[in-house]
Amino acid sequence: MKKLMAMAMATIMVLSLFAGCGAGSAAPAATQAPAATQAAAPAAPAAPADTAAEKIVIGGINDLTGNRSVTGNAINNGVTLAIEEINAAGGILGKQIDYIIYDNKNDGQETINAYTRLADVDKASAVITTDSSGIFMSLIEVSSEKGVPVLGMPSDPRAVMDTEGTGEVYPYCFLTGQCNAPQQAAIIAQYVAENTDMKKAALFYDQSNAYAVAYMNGFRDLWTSKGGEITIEQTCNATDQDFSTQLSKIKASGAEFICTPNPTAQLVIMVQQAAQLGLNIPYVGAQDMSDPFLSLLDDPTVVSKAYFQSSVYMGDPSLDDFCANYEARFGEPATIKAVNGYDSMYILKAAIEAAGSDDRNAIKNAMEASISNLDLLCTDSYTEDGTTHSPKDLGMAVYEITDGVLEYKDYLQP
Amino acid sequence: MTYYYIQLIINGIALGSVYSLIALGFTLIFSVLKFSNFSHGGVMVVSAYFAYIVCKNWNLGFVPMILVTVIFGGLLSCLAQLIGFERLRRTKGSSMLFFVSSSNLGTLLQNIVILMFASSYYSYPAFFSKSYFQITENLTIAVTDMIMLGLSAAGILILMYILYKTRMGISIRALSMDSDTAKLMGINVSLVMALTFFISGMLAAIAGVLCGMKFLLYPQLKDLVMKGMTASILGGLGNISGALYGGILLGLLEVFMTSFVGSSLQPACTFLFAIIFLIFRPQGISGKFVKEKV
Repeated sequence: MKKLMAMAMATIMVLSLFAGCGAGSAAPAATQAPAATQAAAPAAPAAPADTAAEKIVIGGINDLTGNRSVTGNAINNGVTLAIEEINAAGGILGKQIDYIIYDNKNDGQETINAYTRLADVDKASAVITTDSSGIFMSLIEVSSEKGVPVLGMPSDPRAVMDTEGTGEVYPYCFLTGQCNAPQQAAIIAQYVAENTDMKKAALFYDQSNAYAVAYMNGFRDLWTSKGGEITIEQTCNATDQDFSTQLSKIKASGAEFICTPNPTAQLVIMVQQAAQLGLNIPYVGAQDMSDPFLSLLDDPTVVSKAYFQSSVYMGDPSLDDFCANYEARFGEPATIKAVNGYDSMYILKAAIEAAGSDDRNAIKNAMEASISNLDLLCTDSYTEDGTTHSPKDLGMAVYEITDGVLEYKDYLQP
Repeated sequence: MTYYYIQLIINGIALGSVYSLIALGFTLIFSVLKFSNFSHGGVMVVSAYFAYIVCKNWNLGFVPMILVTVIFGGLLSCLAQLIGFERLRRTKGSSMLFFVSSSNLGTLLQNIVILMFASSYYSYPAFFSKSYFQITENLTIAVTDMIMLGLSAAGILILMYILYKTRMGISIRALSMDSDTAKLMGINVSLVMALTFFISGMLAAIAGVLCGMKFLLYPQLKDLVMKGMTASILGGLGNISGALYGGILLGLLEVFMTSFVGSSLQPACTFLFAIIFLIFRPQGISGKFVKEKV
């Protein structure tokens, strides 16, 4: 009995360690289990060389268990779904895709470790990773050294280009599926300036979030150039859950609206706390205000007015099949991050096909020169700009929320 | 400006009530077993998601949902105790093993939630027709904050009654002093331990549901247990009433520090204040603390 208990204890502790320490817990293949399950799987040995030769190895690095696990799992699920579809349709260049996912726990060092293992041990041809700009930036140096192309959704332009120095792109880093943060901010700032009477803005953003900071820099520049006024700037940190102090200050500042590019979880908490403070004020935000933002509010009508831009509208009929397949596969409704992951995998597929091989440099060159007019979920004519390593002429849909009801307004380009 | 500071005080007490509620269950285990039970956060987050499933499938109101969830939380906590601590207690395991086991159990429970609800956020349906009360034109207080504060205070009173006025409470206190002597006195130690964890689990379930209502349902709610631990240290380690005082002090500190020094410096300033406070008053606000194993 004592031995039995000891074994049970040991098993639980070992399982707990694996569940908590996802990095290095590679799942052998995307088709074997849902992405979320892979995160808890024990480490798998790298595929033997002869087996790997018949497959194309794609690496995934996302936050599956850390404080951005909701976003990371959604991206990973989107990639997984795309790979399953591609494999079912015969793969790429006649080869099946072997998807190896690592959990970075939203940590830069874990991300570098995972990338190094994908490059050196798993022999990945390319890597699809996070939408977190800060985490993506941790791969700039190592990707130049190892030469494995990295696709992600980091909206801070510094993630793919040395904007503060030489102006050159980082050779193996690519932003896919959406335009960068300053462009997003410019779209919504211009729309609000031209279509509303509001002049006084309060800025409220997560200062630890590179995307939010880059977005706010873009918004601040364009808003003031349009004659707008900024009454107050307030910040928070990624793990904060109480914003009542900042909201009380904003309330006292006389602002006519709050511009906030914060992630969904912070937005929901902030809007509900604002309502509890009696602060009924319009919001201007980023695509985190799209689904499932409104459905998470106790009472969506507390958002009497809001404006935001989004790379895609989840209610668009053209996404119906994707949404149905996603929900059937993962048991949860699809989100924009899932769309980003799904689109990124199809962009990578196009690059491998254009390259004619799974060679890393060939894929990198194809990403720079051969991605044009792809029919994706975010647009039916997607082009990757080889000079900026970002989407070319990709616009965003502008939406308005009135008393908790979402309405499509316009499609604007930066 | 006066209203602004009064509102800050209200906000601080409201935030503190969250921490107090978490600290209460944490403190109960600490006062008996003398170790920091980090699996408390895991029970919190699993119970919060259980309540969400119950609401979604059975369409229950707030009170029935809470009642079902506290029973679930209590049973889950008992299971955690059986798996993680019972054998350690029987074999008088090292204090460090209690710590490691509780930490691993907390991570395990959190990761079960991540596996099941990984890629989206969730929220409870609106239980109340009004989310806040307007005290004056410029002052408000949220309904969930009032419930949390009320439940924290009620929880302390009920716990104090159980610990000092009932047979079971006497058993728990005897156990906390010397488990061998308690056993010789005819106390069923395993049963009392299970009951203690059951009560702690009930408190974790209430805290989890209310945190989910106040914030949002996501797996990292578990991490709030660290704030609960800080609150219990400030209040006086293992002291039941200290959990309330410590939570309120921590809430007020965070709110005022955010207002005066900004959110970036707030964590550093809050903990600096807490360290200075504990240098001059290591026994915490309540003036009593229980010696820790770890």
